[in-house]
Amino acid sequence: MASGSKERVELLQGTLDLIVLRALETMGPQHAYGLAARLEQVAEPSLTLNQGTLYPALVRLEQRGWIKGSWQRTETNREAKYYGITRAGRRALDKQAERWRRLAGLVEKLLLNES
Amino acid sequence: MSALRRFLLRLHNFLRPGRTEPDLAREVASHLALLEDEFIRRGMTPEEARLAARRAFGGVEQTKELHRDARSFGWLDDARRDLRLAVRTLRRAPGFTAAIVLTLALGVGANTAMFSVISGVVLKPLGYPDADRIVVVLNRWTDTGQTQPNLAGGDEIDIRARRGTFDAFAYYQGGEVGVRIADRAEFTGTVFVHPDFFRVFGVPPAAGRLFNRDDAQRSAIVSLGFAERNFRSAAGALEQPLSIGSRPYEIVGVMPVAMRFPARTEVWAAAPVEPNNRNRGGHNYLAVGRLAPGVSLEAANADLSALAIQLARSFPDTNLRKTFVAVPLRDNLVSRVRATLFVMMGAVALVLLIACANVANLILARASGRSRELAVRAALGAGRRHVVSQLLAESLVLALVGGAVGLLFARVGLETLLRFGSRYVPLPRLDDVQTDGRVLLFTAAVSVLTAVAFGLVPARQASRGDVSAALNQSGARGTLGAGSSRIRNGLVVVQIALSFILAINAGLLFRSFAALTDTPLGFRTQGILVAYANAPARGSIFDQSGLDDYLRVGQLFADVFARLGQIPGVISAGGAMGLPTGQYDSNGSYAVEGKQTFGGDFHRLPSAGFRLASPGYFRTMAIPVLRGREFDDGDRYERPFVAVISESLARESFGAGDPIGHRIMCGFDSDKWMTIVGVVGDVRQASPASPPGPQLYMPLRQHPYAATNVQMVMRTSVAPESLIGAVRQTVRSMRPDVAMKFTTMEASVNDSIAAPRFRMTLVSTFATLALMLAVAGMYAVMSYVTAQRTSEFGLRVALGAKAADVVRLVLRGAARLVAVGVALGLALALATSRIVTNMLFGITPMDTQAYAGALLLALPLTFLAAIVPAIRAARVDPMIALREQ
Repeated sequence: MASGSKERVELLQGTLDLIVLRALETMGPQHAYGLAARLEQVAEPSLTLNQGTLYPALVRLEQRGWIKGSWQRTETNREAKYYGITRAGRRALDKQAERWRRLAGLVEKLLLNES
Repeated sequence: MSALRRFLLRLHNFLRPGRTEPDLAREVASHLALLEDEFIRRGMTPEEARLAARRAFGGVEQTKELHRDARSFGWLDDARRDLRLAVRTLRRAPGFTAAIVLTLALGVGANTAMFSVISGVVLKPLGYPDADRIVVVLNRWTDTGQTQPNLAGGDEIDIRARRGTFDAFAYYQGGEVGVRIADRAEFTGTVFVHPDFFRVFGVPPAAGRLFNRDDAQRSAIVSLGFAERNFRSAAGALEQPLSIGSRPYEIVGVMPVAMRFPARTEVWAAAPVEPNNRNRGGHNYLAVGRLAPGVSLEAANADLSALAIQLARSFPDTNLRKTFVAVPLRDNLVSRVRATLFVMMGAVALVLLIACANVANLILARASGRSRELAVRAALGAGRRHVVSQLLAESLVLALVGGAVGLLFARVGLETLLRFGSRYVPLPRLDDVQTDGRVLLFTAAVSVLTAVAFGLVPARQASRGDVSAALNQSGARGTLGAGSSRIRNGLVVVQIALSFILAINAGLLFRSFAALTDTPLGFRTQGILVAYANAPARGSIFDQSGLDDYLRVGQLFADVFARLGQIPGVISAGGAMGLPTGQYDSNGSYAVEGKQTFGGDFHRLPSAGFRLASPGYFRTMAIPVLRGREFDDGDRYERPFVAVISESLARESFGAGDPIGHRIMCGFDSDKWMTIVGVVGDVRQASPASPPGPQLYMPLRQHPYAATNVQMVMRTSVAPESLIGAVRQTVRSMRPDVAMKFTTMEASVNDSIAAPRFRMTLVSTFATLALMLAVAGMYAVMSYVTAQRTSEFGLRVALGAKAADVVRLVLRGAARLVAVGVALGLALALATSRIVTNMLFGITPMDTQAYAGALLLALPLTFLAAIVPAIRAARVDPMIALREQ
């Protein structure tokens, strides 16, 4: 139900933004479906998520001015909204990535010390 | 930066929705199409691919919802949707909406009006700088515990000398007297104040200056209104002369409207620095003070007690049982009306409770009727939260609209209350009453609280319902759940009980008021014209100066009474100082020759009211002379002093013996023995509520210093008011500088019982409102219940029941509710009867007639509310009723 999926998004929220930005930086402009496919590729196969849950993250990032969407045609001649990373987005990605690395390092260290 | 940008965009999306929604739909559609393409590529049939795409994507609506939450403020969007839906729903049920809005508006309106009065009169600080530092100092008798506002002159001087306790301290005395400007004389609220008086209040003058020590008995300060009325402007009044009594004063200052103490004062005249009468036995002076910085009220009172103990030791004759108490000025001003106002507040609070119960009942009835609608909403995916918030939104809209209309009602009600109130009741601080911010807040709180209170019950009940059960139910109507009908019945019972309490109290106050108006007063009230007159005389009783001038005034009034008696339409005329229900009153101790000596400890002496009267006064007022004679023209200053006593005084001091010929002395103004020449009937002096007590009458002309202020009475054979012009002209022709004002004895007596009339009218109004609401509530519930049971009644009729049987069935249910409600109301009224006890006159709080009256009023009304729906139910055509099934 609604409340279940929301909880999972919250769990992923910080990482999801980071992953989306990173994917757009390396792959160039992508539509939501393309991003979802990329996400499924990266993530463990056991971790499946509804592709719809991408949308709040896209709105959030677009409202912050880190990505920008525009309507284009796909290779299969379907219309789709392509999102590209902006300059502010790249700066944010660097900062977020750094923060994540540090956080991940800290958590790693803590986990090691605990055991 | 980016966070702010995001907030602004969200705000923008909230304020300007609509553009992003279609865009999102397009994006989702394209996403699904791409997914389908992918699945078809993997070898699925188009149909399978469509379903698989949906599954992979997840809930489309949920996604949109999440998207909305992220791009805007979800809860705000929800609230807006709920409110819009609520307004639309309510507009579709105009009767229901109007009933609720009106009910709420009545409750909220009455409360706001009443609370405005309480806020202005009791709660709001006085408008002076550091007003909570201003106190009045009262005289308290330690043996009886009674407090009186007047201090003795000698005591006042000693209290004023406590510089450590009081920053400023001032005595004052006065009332309405004749003030003369140029050739005009007018009755004007005038007080004689110690020069420090304005330092106590800290109000700067609007023009001119405040008093200093040199101003005593020479300077006056007037109100802005007085200055503008008589001299066109504040500046124009400065240095102008006016005279009070016969003493000339010069206006040195003008006070702004903020200075309004004592109430209705227009002239403050500088009194001597030390009071004229410095003995400690006569209590003639009122006093106010400003506490010195850092001195608490408790500290001030401790200091006053210490002083009192000291004085008791030094002056045991006069001060043995005396102490002084400082009371905050505001508390002192409102002490007399506080209880009345809070009882009134209780009454309107009951009205509000009844109104809320009514509203709750209406909503509850509607909610049960809507259970199918809500079930459909739930089936279509509305969560429990949504149903509840939608119902709450409806309540909120109703409460806000009801509150707004109520505020409108409050405005009108307050205006009526003030007009009515200021005319009949001398409520203090009425100028401070207005619908202020605090009152608005109170109204808002009351209506929102009401909304939550009555909105939640049906909301919870409706949302708890089992969707499929409600949907499967046959027929358009919901079932009558046992729980909801219990709540509804409970609400009706509460309404009946509460309104019954109000009806009983209204009955008590009504009976009490009737007792007041029926009480024999001991004097005539019909056909008597009253003229307050004030003639100037030069000199003062304190140095016995100007006696000749005062004696001339005595002669003048004697001549005036004779001339007034000749005016066509006047049967007889006379005058008094201390007319019953009038503005002047005096009392004190007396001694009977051979029984007591006058002086020493006054507390051992009997006391009486002191009055002055002219020849013809008792005849005009129809106060019966029981023994001896009334005063005549021979009772003059140079002749032996005489007195007339009332029946009560004769009984108290002479028992069954004959008082005529005995001599009596009192502390009024002279220490001469007076021979008792007559006994007259008792009167109720202050109002019909005051018990007939001992009175000592003395001839006007033997007490010249007190006889410049006279209340002239004329018994007329025509309408008393019609003679005002003739009387004024007659007096003016004899002496133009006599100040006069007119009333009738009837009006004067009516004014004296204005407060109980005000209370009775108000409580009766509230009781009527409450009964109407309760009856409406009863009617609504009975209508609803009978409508729910239409098919049952149809079946009964089809099976042979008579119409009367159906009516009886419905009425039996109603009777049970009424019986429980009335019993509950009766019990509560008895339990709380203590509250109104001291507002009652002549009846006990258990007065059976009041209870019977309330019952006789409430029962037929509730019966009426039940019989109409009952008859409607009995008339139902069984075929139609059964087809509805």
